[in-house]
Amino acid sequence: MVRPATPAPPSAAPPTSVAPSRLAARWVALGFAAVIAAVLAGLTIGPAGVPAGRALAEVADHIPFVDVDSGLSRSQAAIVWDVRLPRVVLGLLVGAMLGLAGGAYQGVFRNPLADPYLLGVAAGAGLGATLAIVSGLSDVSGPLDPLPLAAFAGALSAVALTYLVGAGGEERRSPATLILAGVAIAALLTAVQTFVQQRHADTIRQVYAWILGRLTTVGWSEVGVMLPYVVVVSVVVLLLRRSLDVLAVGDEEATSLGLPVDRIRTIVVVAASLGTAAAVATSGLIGFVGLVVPHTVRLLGGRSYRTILPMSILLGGAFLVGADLLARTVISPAEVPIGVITAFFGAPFFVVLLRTRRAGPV
Amino acid sequence: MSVPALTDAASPAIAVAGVYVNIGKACLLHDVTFEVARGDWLSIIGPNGAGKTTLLRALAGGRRSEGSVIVGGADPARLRPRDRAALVAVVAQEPMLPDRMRVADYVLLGRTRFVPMFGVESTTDLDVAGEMLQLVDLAGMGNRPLETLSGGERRRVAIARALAQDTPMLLLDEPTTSLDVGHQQEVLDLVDHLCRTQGLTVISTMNDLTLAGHYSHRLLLLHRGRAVAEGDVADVLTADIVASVYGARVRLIDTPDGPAVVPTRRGHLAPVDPAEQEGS
Repeated sequence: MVRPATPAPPSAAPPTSVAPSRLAARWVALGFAAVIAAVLAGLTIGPAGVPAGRALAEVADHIPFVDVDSGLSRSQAAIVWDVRLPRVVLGLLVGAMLGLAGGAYQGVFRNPLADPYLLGVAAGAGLGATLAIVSGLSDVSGPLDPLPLAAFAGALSAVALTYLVGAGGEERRSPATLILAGVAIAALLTAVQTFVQQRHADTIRQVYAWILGRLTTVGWSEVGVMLPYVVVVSVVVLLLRRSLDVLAVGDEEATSLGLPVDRIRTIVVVAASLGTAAAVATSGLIGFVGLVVPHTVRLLGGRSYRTILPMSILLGGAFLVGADLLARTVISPAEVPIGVITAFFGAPFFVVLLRTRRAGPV
Repeated sequence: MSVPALTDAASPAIAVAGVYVNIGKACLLHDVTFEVARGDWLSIIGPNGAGKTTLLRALAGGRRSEGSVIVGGADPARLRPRDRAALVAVVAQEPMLPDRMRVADYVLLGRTRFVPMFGVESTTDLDVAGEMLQLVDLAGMGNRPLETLSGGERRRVAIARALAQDTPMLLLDEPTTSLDVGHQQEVLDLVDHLCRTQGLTVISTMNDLTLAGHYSHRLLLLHRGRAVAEGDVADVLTADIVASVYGARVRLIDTPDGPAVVPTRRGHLAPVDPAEQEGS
């Protein structure tokens, strides 16, 4: 290092611009390749064998103004369009939502352990679903299934309660206060849920089946519920990707740089919680995606949220579709709960990644 | 967006009057009053725990205080973060340099006040960040991860970020702590250069009294939360004041740059003049 005893006069040389970290094209390509591979596998693999090309032709045939003869029988076509495709798309949406929400939480709380269920979403949804099941509400048949609604309401109530306890008061609280409030609320709601469940042991299987998660679909209705949440939440959080990078220097420095830290944290937490609640309501509690996917991106592709957020959307979706494929094939015709698969395959993969790559803090 | 423009050349850049900071029953600052003229460099000195950093935080608007703090014509604690960031840039004592963040990305953080909340940097922001890296002599290091920088480079990259903020005032908390003597000079020479060429108003807290006296134009001495001396270097840095406030045995030696404050060993306190020494 040459020390400038007399510093060079400014702009003696022509000003040189810097290049900011951007989302690299190879990453986008990799993400889309993973999504396409997962979708093809999800459409073609199953008890009724359907060739990939014909499955794609069948999907293309449903695009307006496109007329392709897939050569599939009526029942095969129904399996592709009405059974497998909705399930694959739901997997993409839920996985994308959980991956994005996990990355967003890790960013605003600067906490590597943050996952989408951090602020009590899981416990609230679990309590809501349990109450719906034991009260017999979920047996009522109608146009609207009350079970997801109860889970959604429970999840949002839990986050609202956490926010009220953790961020309320006159003095500004640290983000850690909010996390601790989430832990307390989750413990409280889980205790209530356990009590209710124990009083109604006859429904325990039903409750557990829901808690461990599944991507079962009835036509396209779940996809219709999930899609608007994924679109809105993705847009909001992706637009804040630079702000999340600024937060890396801490609340005090970020504020002195001119960032409205509290407002950004609130927007991101509300958006991510809403999306997580929708995901939980449609497919139960699927663990590990929100924790592992963003960290995998971080370890491979750097620390900027300009890479982490979009890649978590793509890889989260692909990962969950792949996990669902395993869930419905390993002990076919029965299904393994998808939450078991995500943890069983996600955990070892992540451990190997952690040991081979230098782990960077959030 | 009502940031009073710094057009009135006569008014001081910073005016602090009767400021108290209390936390619970602890009084961190007690009736502190001073002014800083535009383009001046004031160093806040004082023993550990005297309230130097607290005062700097009050100036940056990060610490609620009683009394009147006017920075660039406004009370920083009442400004929105974006407006405050247009007035003062802060270099923290231990700036948070996130691991694996690139030097260029870090300097670009300084442009936050110019970037819309839901947006990314403009080409102007990229140009300014490049210029600032050049200014602190780190041009060409934009792609280096922050953790690979030396101590002196880390301070300079933090200063580059503060400069990218493009403010009339710069607050430096202990800019030379934990640097060796060469890197201390490197950082202070840079600040001196900026102060002279860009007309920046600089407020720094300093532990090294000699460097504080050599580089800054005026000194403010804090002791237990009170301002006990303020003014030109020669008026504040006297053996009596330093001895009583710091509880230290020191000798002041005149140098062309100002007084050098030299600590002396126990037992060598009284005899300053060699002739006197022989006599006793």
